[in-house]
Amino acid sequence: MAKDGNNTLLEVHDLRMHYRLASGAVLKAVDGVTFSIKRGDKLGLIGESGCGKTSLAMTLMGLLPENAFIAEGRIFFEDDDVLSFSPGQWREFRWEKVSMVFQSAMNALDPVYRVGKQLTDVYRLHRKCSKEEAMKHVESLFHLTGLPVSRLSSYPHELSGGMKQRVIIAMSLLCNPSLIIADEPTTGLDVIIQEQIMREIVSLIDQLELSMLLVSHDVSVVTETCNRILVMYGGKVAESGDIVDVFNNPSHPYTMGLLEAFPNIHGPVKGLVALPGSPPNLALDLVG
Amino acid sequence: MNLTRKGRFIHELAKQRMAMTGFFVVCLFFLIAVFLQVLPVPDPFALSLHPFHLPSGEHWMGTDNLGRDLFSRVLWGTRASLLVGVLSAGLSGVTGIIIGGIAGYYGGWVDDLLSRITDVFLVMPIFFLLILIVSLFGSHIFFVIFSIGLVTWPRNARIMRAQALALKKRAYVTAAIGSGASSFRVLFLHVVPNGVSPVIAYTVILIGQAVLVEAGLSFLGLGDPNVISWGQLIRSGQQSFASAWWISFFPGLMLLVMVSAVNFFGDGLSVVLNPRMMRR
Repeated sequence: MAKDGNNTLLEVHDLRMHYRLASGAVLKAVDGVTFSIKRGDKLGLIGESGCGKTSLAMTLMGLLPENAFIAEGRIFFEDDDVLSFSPGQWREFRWEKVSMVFQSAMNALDPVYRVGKQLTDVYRLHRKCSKEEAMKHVESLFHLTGLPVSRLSSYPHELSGGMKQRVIIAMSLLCNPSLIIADEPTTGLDVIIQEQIMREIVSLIDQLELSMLLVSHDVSVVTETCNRILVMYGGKVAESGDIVDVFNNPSHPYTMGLLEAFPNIHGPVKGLVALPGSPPNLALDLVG
Repeated sequence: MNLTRKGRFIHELAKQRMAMTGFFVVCLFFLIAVFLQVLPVPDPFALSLHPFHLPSGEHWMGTDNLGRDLFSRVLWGTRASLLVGVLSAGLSGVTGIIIGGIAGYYGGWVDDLLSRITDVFLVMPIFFLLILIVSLFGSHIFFVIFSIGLVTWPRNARIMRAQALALKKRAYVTAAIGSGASSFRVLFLHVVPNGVSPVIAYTVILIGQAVLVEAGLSFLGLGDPNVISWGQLIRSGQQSFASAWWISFFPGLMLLVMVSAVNFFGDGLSVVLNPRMMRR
């Protein structure tokens, strides 16, 4: 897939993204994360609620909340230093290079516009072209994601959850990005649709030769879709590597716990393992 | 029910009887104001030899102290009153949306600055400020419109700011920023359209208030003397109220009808435009 020797698409080095709390304390949501994504990689980012998964994904898109700041670290995308971007460069970078399937995709569509208009608007924002051309492009993406073209003139509230999800996926593909960040893309869908949507995302990613960062807390989803895995715990990387290696040889106790916490329908019935205590409070400095 | 958003809106609005009545009355006034020249009514400025004439078949609302036909003058008053009401409320709405939207969406020092300015305008005694402006800059009708707009926008700005504060945290706003939209675009294409309903409802009610304020100014002699308005008519009948009650009565009645109609319509709108109803 790579046209040149440089196979690395995204490189994150020692990234630290912190929140300044109203009390004055600093919450270290992402605390020294290093990883890279090669072209064609499907990397699963996994961890429990509050471990910094979504914060990390938002940092990659430059969508920091008001009270967040980057304390340290570098992000390179195709040799561009992402964190040094001006607001204008950011706007170009988003969707052209990296797009996102948002968490709570159900609410990611503006209720006052027809979905067709929303998609063509985004496309026309990046490519200067006529409405007709944009519409043609959006129609082709609707075909690709298995949506009837007649749905272009629907409002978001007229669509089912699965359809909205497909619209969001079509939207993420609009500008032919190299990397798609999918933040819990199937939250709120039933298991059957979840399975369908995940299959479709993966086949689209393979078909279009894209790379993906899948953020999830569901081990089974990640094992089925990704080839590499990154386990986060308390804002830090617990373990990362090839998915088969990690599963066969988990070296970090948290990863072992994570795998044990997943019911196996084939093996003998046994109690699920839970880690004692609660996730570390990221606002406190941890020693040890 | 398989209705589009627009269809549902009209359907809900039609269920509000009082609102619809108000709406039709306002529409009627609009038609009168627009087609005034072609209506078969006497010239409102033509003098006749019958001053203080009681309402009759010839003069439906009687004549005034100079023998001018009151019915015709009341109809002409509709135009000035509506002009003032709609334009000043519109000015107030647009200013409020822009200032409140920017304050709520951008936050930080921008919000602090704009909110303090809003507060300053909010604590001003409206009517006295109006009297001051009109007596300083003259009583041309556009000064009246401008002044009313100037003193009524802060409430709209407050409403819009609250809406923007709530809406900017929505997923589709993040999604819009994430897909490369500029903050200006996000504010005016996503935040404002989603949060504008209560501002619209309040602005409609403001039309009625503006009509009243204009009448009040005219009654005090601060209105535009070159324009026939209901306030002017009420004022002109004031001296002879004991003997010729109709000169003040009919314009006052029209004022009452119009303001009530606008208020009923505005109330109905605020019920129908309620965001909780918009979503489904």
